[in-house]
Amino acid sequence: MDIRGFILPKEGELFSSCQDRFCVNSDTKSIAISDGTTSGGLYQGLWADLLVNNFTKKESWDAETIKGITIDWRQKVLDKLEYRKKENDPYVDYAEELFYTGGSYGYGYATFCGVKFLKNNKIECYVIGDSCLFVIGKDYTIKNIYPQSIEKKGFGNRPDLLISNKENVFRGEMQKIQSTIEVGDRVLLVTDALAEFIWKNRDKIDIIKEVLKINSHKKFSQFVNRYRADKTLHIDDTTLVIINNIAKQDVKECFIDNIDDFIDFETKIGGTIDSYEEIKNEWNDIYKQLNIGV
Amino acid sequence: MEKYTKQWSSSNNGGKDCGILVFLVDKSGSMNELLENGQTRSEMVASVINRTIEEIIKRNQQDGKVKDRTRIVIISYSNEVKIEKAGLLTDLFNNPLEVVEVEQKVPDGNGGLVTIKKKQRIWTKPIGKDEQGCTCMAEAFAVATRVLKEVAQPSNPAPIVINISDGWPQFPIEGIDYTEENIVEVFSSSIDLTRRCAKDLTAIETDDGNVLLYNAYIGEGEKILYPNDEKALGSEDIGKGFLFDISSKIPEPHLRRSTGVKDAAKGLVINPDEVSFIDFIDFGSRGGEGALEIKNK
Repeated sequence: MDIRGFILPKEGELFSSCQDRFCVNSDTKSIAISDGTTSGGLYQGLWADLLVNNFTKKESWDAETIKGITIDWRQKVLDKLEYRKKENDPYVDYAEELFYTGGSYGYGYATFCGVKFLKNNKIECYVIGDSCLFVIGKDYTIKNIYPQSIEKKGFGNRPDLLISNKENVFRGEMQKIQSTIEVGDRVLLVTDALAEFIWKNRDKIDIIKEVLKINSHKKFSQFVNRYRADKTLHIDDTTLVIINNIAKQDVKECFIDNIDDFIDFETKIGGTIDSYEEIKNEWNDIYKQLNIGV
Repeated sequence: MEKYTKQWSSSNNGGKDCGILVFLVDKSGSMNELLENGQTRSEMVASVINRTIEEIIKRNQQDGKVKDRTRIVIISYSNEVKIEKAGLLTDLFNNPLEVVEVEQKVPDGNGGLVTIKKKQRIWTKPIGKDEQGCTCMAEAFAVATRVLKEVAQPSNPAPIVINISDGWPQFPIEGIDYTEENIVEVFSSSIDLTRRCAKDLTAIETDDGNVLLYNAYIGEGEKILYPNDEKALGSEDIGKGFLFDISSKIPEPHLRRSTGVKDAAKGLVINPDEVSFIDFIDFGSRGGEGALEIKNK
């Protein structure tokens, strides 16, 4: 199984503002993406991060498991607020006010799509909201999209969500789908903006081929920015995971963006990052200047 | 790209992609009339606008840091027109007219209590109990036009103007007293002028569409929400007909995301109760920002 994964924030925004997350776990053959709502709540990226990390580690994925993750989220938020207070962050009071008294504004919200690859080419997929899983056939046609409700309803403005509220973790329903992948099929996990673009262009084989060919952050960035520029792709945080050669037993993570590296880079250097290659090259230069070596 | 679909965004510095929301607030003397709940009209309007701005800020923050996805302008009108407050969301968040700070003890989630400073921000205040003045709506539209010509750029989502008043447009004419004999004539000329000013205002456009002008009438009479036919107003009142005429049609993309609003409905509410009024302001102020939900009342 060969896996490539890419992530990009909204145009003109930093990776630190990006609320999408994805995680690949080679050991459990589990992959998940999550799209934290970009505003109107607290620490949505953290919530999305905890969801994808826990999904790829844990065997079961149900309401009780997710309730457990809300406790972790809450503690991590408290740690972050404490840190911000020490750093004299001017917005920490407001964040704290929302956390304790903001009602619905005091939680994180995220859509979610996770897949576990089982024996005999079987998959188990969990999906809530408009983060999607596509099964692409050898002939580049879309054989399936999950959630299947997209086929009828399309992409709306009020997707179902997982909420970091122990008392009420679901808005809407999380679906569990079991299916079998045929040899030669490819699987894509995609957050809403690009998922909508792919779904709208499902009859254009050239575009599907173009998506499947993406093999570097730079190419992903160019692809996304080109369609953002011609206004056919909504400007939103965007995540794409491509899974090829599913029948192969060993898992090869070929090109996997690491958002933590990106955020680290931005924090230390400042500015917007357009390509992973540029980041790596610049980091290499910095290390050379510092004589650290890589 | 389909018109009226551009989302409010903070992605470009300087507010080139942000939403623009203008409140025009009638502060004429009649806004001191009491409502059934004991508030004056002016108190209710100020409270709803302040709550709406607070909600907009909450919706457009990330981890407590406010994002400049909207520029808000509050213009009040009586005998004179004033720009009371104008700025991007962070400006409004950091510089309200007044802050009421309340310390509140709340559960910390681990069995204890934590003290939180809860701030209530105020950006517009009701008029004083003894204040008088007429309804210079035409001039308010003209000032809004001037402001939008200054700040609206082609890349902005279509600006939204929400005009809230309890009366029909007037202007003070020196040396003329309003009498039963001349009042229709004076009102008619005021309405004609205001209609022309509203036309100038809604002629301003960005790539996303023309300015949307929504109106709320807070006065007496039957409640009417989002009419799509002037006959629904049910009277020969020239004022209501005037408001129906100048109110923008709710654009199709906004209608698609709402429920309970008829096709070709106008952005107009007459005598809404407090809940419908909050819904109306929320509906108007969300523009292209996200889902609009108008509940059937």
